[in-house]
Amino acid sequence: MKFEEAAKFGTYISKSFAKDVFRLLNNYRDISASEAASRLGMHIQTVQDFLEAMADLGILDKKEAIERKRPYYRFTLKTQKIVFELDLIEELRNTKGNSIEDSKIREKKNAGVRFSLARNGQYFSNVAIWVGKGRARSEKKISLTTAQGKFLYNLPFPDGEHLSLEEIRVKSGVELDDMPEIKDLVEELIQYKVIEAKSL
Amino acid sequence: MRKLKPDRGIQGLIPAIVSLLIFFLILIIGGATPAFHVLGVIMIFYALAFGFWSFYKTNNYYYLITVFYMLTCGAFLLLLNFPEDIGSLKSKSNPELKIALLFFYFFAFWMAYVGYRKKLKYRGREVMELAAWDVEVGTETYTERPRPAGIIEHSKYDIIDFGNHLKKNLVCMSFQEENRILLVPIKMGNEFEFLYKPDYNYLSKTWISIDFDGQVSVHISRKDYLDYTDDLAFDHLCESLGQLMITFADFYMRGDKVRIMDRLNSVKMGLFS
Repeated sequence: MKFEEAAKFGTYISKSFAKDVFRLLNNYRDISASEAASRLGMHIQTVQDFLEAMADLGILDKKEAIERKRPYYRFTLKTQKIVFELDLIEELRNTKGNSIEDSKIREKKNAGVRFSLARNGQYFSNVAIWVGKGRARSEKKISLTTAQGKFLYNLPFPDGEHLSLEEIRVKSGVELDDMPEIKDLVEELIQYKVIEAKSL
Repeated sequence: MRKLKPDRGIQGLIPAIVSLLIFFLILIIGGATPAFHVLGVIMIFYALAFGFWSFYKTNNYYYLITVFYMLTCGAFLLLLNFPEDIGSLKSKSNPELKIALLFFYFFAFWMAYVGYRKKLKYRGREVMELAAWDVEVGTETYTERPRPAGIIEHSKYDIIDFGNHLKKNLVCMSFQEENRILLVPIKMGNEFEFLYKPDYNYLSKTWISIDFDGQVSVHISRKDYLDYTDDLAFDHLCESLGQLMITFADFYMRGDKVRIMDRLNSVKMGLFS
C-alpha cells in the first residue's frame, strides 16, 4: 500500500464507526450505504464517504444496482487481510459466537415494533423500533436485506411456538450463506427486545 | 357463543335519516308536493351514488335491483302531486304515475327478497366470526405484521377468479397486485370507506393475501382484533383465518361455491350487522 493510500486508510480506519461498518461488511454478503447507515443509525453521507474510500483503496468491491430506476452501489468486502496486518476476520468476528444458534426464538410480546412490507408483499423491507424513553424516545429504522426480510416474515408470533434459526431459515427459504447477516439482525433485535430467545 | 362484539353502528341508516330530515324540513317550509319531489330527486341521486356505484365497485348484480328500485321510487315521487294524485290513483287518470308505482312495487318486492337472501350483505363479520370460532383467549399476543398461513396449489387465473367470486358475493373485496391478490373482508357499516374513500388503504385493513405461487398470508388490523370481545390468541386466529380462506378456495376450485355461502350463513348474523 502506498503512503497516500495508507494515510487515507488511516484517516478512515480511525473513525469511531469504522469497525461497525466493517462488521456489517463482514456479515453481509453485500450492503448499500443506506442499509448500513440505517443499521448503524448514522448519516448516509458519512457512510457513503467511508465505503467509497474503502472501495477506492481496493478493500471493497463496488457494484451498481438499480431499484425503481435509481442506481445505487452495493459494497462487498473484497479482502480479509490488509497490509497493516489487521486480521479483519479475527477482529470483526461476532463476539457472541454461536450462542444464538443454540436458541429458539419468536417475536416478543408488545414489542412495539413496526414492520414494513416490501413492494411485492412477500417479505419485510424495514423494521422501525422505538428506542429510548420519554422525550428522548426516537425511532430507529433498520433496512433489511431480502434474506433478512424473508426470515423476519416467518418469525413466530408472540404466542406462536418458538423455532430455531435453522427451522425459520428452512421455512422462509433463505440460503445457508445468508445466515451471518440473519444472526447479526437477530442479535440486534434481541437487544432491542423485539425478539425473545429461549435456550434449546 | 359469538366472539365479536355486537354491532350497534348506524352508519348504514345515515342516508335514510338525512333524506327524511330534508323531507320533513321542506314539508314544513314549502308543503307536501315540493317535499315529495325533493325526496324523489334524492332517491334518484341515491340510486346512482349508492346503487350504481356499489355495482361498479363490486360487480354484484343485485345492486342493479336497488338502482331500479330507487329510480322507480324517485320517478313516482317526482310525478306525484300531493294530495290531488292520491285520489286519482284509483281512477283512470295519470297513467304515468300508475306505471311508476307498478314498477316500484315490482322492484320493492324483488329487493325485499334479495334482502332476505342476504345478497347485498357484506360478509366481513361472518368471516371474522368463523375465523375466531375455536380460537382461545390469549392476552398481549397481537402483532402488526402478517403471518404466513399456508399454501394453495392453484393457477394464477384460478386465484384471480376466486377473488372476483368473493368480491361479487361481498365476502371479501379483492385487490390485485403485481404478484398476488389481497382479500379484504368488509363488515357492514365499513363499506362506505371502501366505496367512497379515494385513497382507500386496504393494506392497513385486515387482509388475506394469496400470491400467484400459492403462498397465503394473513394480516389482521388492530381495529378488527379489538372488535373481538376478548383478546384472542393471535397466532391461532391468523392461522384460522388463513385456513378459512384456503377452505373457501378449495370449495371454489371444486365447484362447490355454494358451500362458501353455507358456511357464512351458518353464523346467522343479522341483515344489517
